[in-house]
Amino acid sequence: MTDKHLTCAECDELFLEYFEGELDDARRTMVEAHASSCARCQGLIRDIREITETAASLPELTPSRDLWKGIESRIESAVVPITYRREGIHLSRRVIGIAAALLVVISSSVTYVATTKTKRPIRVVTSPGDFVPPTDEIGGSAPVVTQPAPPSTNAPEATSTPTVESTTPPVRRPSVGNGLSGSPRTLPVTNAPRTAVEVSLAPQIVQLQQMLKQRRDQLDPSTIKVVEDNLALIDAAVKQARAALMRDPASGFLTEQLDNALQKKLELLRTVALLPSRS
Amino acid sequence: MRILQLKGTTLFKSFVPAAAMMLSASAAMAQNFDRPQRVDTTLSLERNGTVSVSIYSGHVNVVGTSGSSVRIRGTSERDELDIRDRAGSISVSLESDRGHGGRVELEISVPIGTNVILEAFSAPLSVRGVKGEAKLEALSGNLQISDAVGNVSAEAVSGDIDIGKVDGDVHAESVSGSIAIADVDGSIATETVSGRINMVRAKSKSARAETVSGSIGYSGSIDPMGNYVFKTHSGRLTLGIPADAGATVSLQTFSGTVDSEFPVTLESKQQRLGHESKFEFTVGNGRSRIVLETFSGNIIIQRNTNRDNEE
Repeated sequence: MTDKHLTCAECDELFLEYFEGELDDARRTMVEAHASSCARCQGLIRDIREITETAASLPELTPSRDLWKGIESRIESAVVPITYRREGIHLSRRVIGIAAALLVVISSSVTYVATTKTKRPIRVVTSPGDFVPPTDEIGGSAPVVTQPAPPSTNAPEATSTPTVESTTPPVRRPSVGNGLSGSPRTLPVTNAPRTAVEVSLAPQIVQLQQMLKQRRDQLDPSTIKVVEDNLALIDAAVKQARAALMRDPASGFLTEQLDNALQKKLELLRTVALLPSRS
Repeated sequence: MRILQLKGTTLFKSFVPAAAMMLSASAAMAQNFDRPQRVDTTLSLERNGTVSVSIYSGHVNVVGTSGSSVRIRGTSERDELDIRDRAGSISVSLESDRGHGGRVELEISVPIGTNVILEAFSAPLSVRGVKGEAKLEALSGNLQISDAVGNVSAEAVSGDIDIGKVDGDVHAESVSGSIAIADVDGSIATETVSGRINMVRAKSKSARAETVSGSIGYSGSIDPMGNYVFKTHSGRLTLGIPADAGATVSLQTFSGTVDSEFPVTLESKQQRLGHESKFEFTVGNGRSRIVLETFSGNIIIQRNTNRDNEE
């Protein structure tokens, strides 16, 4: 095997282990040999290293206790789907590697904001520490309940539900829909199933949707139309997979269907975020 | 040699600097280039050199010819073409200081074996008979590559992609456009959101196709050690398996149907969990691996009789 010259596709499959330092010497050498003569893979390695170094240079932050509870519960519930996906994963490891690296950056930023800007009102809907954006912001739509208009800042918050742990005035989270048009001002029922991948992709999807919304006027109208139509298709797929998963939460197949659709949404949003302006 | 220069993972990253250059406006240039500029120039290019073209709109057709010269003929609507000849590389782009530039129509002949890179915002691009590597990108506009050797890549948002007769690996992505791939002797990796993907007469050890709502068709040889993965959320999956293939086939669908005309024996691994159906069966020696997954689409398995899965 050591004599084999890798293709880019084969390198893609090895990148995740390469960046995690899990490759044996022979395979690592093969990857590096390929990259030394391939501008595309060379650039990819450079980019990911830059991202990793950037992430490493961020200040170390300690999340609040409440935030950690939510994170911990997500990690615990995610063990089985992660194992399954490593067998049947359809995405290139290159993409996942990049997503993981980006996630480090984004998660650090989110944590930083959450732990430093304490004056910003945050409302926890049902479960303490639930920091994941609502599913309708990520894609598709979980069953939703319409949230009444926010009360005045002096109005007391309803405290009849014991799981609500907000000590600050309630505020609606911004709902960005598919990123291109306004969405109903609703909040989801947050007990909809969320996969490990969904949790990990959510911050990036929300961030890219917001970026896309800001760029809407800069893009060609026909491009916007294509993007809107295809985001709607993906959201419909997410919605269908999520609904099926709610009926059969243990299904690895449905988990993968949902994850695939969300990953596709992330890829499309990334593509659109980098498109040139129309003029 | 790999010609792809994209550093990132997303389409059109390379467009950004090109577009930024095109977007800086200068009225001073306008008076000099308000009429079409004609070009007809011939340059020499070393063997296996690279020709790259970046335009905004119009069209670019590249064909392979014998000899060692590159001939560039065509018109530019209003901006002068910047043609640069470096060692082993010729590049053509717009010297536009006025927005994104006008239409550029180019017919380019290159030596056999040349590597070709074409980029456009909105323009059909084609590379035919070059027998080298090719990389095409366009936001909108159809992309066509035929008779290539080595790595081939085509990426579009709304354009259709047509790739044929490639001795090498193929990568194709589109958002809404369809992707047609024929006669590829190499691995195939392709994906769309809503576009249809059709692969015919493939000789691929590895083939992977993914789409959300588009259909996927594959017919061709099944390598004894091959790996084939086809996934769609709501589209139809059509697979043609040669009679002498040896493969373990995994099928999974939530609400779609499975229709197999291939004489296979379902083994005990058939499962039905909740609504989803999962089948696994073996053809011949079962050495290669085929995975077909769809949420709501139908799965059709045909005995491969060189049908092209035309739809």
